[in-house]
Amino acid sequence: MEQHDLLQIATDLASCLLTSGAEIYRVEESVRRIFDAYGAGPYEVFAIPSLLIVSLQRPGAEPLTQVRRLQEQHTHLARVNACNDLCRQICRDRPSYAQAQQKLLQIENIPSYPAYLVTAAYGIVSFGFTLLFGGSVASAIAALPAGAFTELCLRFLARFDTNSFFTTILASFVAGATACCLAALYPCLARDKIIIGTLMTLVPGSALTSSMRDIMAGDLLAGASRLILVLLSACGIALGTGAALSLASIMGGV
Amino acid sequence: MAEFLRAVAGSFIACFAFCFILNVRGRLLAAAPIGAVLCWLTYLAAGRFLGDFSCYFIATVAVSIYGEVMARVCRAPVTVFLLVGLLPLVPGGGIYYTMEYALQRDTTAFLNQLLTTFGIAGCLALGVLVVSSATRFFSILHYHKKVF
Repeated sequence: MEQHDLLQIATDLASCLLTSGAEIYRVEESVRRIFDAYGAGPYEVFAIPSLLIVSLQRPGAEPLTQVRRLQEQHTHLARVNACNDLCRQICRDRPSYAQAQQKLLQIENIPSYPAYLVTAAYGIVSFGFTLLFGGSVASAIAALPAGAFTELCLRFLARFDTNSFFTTILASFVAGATACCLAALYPCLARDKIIIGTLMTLVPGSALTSSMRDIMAGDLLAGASRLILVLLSACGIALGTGAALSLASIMGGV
Repeated sequence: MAEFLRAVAGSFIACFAFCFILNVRGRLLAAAPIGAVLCWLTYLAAGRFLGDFSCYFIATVAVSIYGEVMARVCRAPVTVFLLVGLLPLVPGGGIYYTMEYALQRDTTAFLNQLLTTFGIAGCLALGVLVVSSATRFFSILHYHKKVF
């Protein structure tokens, strides 16, 4: 493989990993492994969740560098898994540029689950957690629509490219408002359990875990930026549900 | 027994559905939620003997070890097992009650709950940290044994 093709493949693979929610060390490690497998000259790679820089020095020519500014995307673990397999395969078989390119294209075309399934999944996650945290079966069933509405709200806002803080506030407001309405209609439901169960779909658990793993691996900058994301979403959740609850109490409801 | 069934069913259903949100595919769809069930059962079992924070820590360590083992068995990234398996421990309830106490202007309870929530998040972080650094240490040790 030519040097610039090699750089292209490595950068594409790394950016696919990064936007699908892989840890930073996995991204940097993958690039290093690929370059090492082809015995490419001195190289540098740097990644944080929003930026990727890969640079490769060539003997007798000026160095090559690729810089990618990456947008935050939703977690797609099937892609992370496939990229991981592809990286291993590239290191083992050292395929040609066209072959590797085609494999990458296949990975980028791995579909997400269809919309209705994701909406249902949000409902079922809320159902499960309401049950787990001590809600009655009736409360858990009430959490189904709350979770589904939350997802619909997220999907609707995603069209407008709003920032994640604002999105979280609105989505948790919807979750809180649905729970308050249902609890006002059927007093036997436990409002707090429904809200907590629904919020579990929004809490930044993945970001918290990844940020800790990043910090552990020595990628302080990436870890810190994800930690800020965690704090912001937690504040957003508190603000959104808080607004819903105060609105409910103003309207003289529950 | 009803308590046990509720724990197993609740955590499995919730985390199985969460796999669809994270786009997990194939046999990981079964392996990852089992980690979550393991996590919650460890948490409940530890709750009989230990304080609140220790439970969270021990459950995190249990699911991290499960993740490291299953990652090697299934040849998949550890992240998959951690993101799904740790979900039941993430302090969603903590965030909610913190907010509720703030609305009620109960400052003492608010601060108390806030610190507890941070404490739980810290326990999760510490648990993940301990296991992943131990794994790194052992894999480096293993690697050097081959070299020398």
